[in-house]
Amino acid sequence: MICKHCNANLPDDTTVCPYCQAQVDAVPEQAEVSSEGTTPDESAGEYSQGAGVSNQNVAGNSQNTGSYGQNAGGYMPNMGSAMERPVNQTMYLVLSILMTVCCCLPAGIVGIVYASKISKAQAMGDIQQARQFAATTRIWLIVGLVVGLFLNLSMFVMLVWAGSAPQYY
Amino acid sequence: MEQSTFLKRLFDSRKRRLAALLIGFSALAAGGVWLYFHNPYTTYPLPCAFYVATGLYCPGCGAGRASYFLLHGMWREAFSHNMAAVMLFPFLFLFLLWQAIRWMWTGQVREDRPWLVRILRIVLFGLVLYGVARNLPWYPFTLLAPGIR
Repeated sequence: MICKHCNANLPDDTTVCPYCQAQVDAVPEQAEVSSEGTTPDESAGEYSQGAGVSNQNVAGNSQNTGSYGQNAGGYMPNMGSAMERPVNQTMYLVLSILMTVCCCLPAGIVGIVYASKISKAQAMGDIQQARQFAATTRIWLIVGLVVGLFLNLSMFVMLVWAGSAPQYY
Repeated sequence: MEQSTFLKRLFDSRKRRLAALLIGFSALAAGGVWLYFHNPYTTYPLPCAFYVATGLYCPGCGAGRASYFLLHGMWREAFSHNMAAVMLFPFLFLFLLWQAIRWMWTGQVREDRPWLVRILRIVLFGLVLYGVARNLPWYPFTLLAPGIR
């Protein structure tokens, strides 16, 4: 049996996942086999079923699937395969560069610095540290988005009202 | 991380992820339509806080005007406003589309590919050089500053 929250391998008779403390009801193994290729029939309401299938699908492809938010369900220090998965740096780097160039330059630069630290921490094998850098990057991305949007939008409103000289973008 | 638990539950079904994706891309399309009908030189321009504050061209300066000219198929004008943006936009769009579809289907963001990170480092380095170069006031570099020529 496979935990649908953290993809850990569990003995068949478990009801609570020892890694992430999630409730595990018996999801039959064949679900992941049938999900390969064709669309698994998932009704809109049953999110747990759909998530379980898709997670298993990915876990079958590669051991180390990075995803933020996946470890969020129940995080216990010192235990859990969920914490061992590497962080995906690429998205953080791309978004930070975009932030620098398009929205809010100072916050974007801080984001780039922290995003480029992720892979260094990961190369040292310090996944915990890498996750912290990723979280910091995320915070700076949000700060940059809010500050940049506010500044630029308020200037846009002022420009439209005042009808003054062109300011470039 | 309460917030990501909420997001995780929100995007736990493939249909909801598809809906989120469609909303995002229709917002993008709406922005494109708006931009198409707003010539930055004849109607009101979009301002940039960084340019107003410092007077410097950042690597993204002119990207919005370049997008306007790209939407109208005016390659030369687009290129003269921000050549880096014009060259990077297709790759950026493909990358985001690829990741978004992947996320929609699996609910996961793919882990890093080493070649992708290596390319990104080069792009980042190039963008920093570009940002410095287009602010230099001498002849070959003034071509990089945004404007019609």
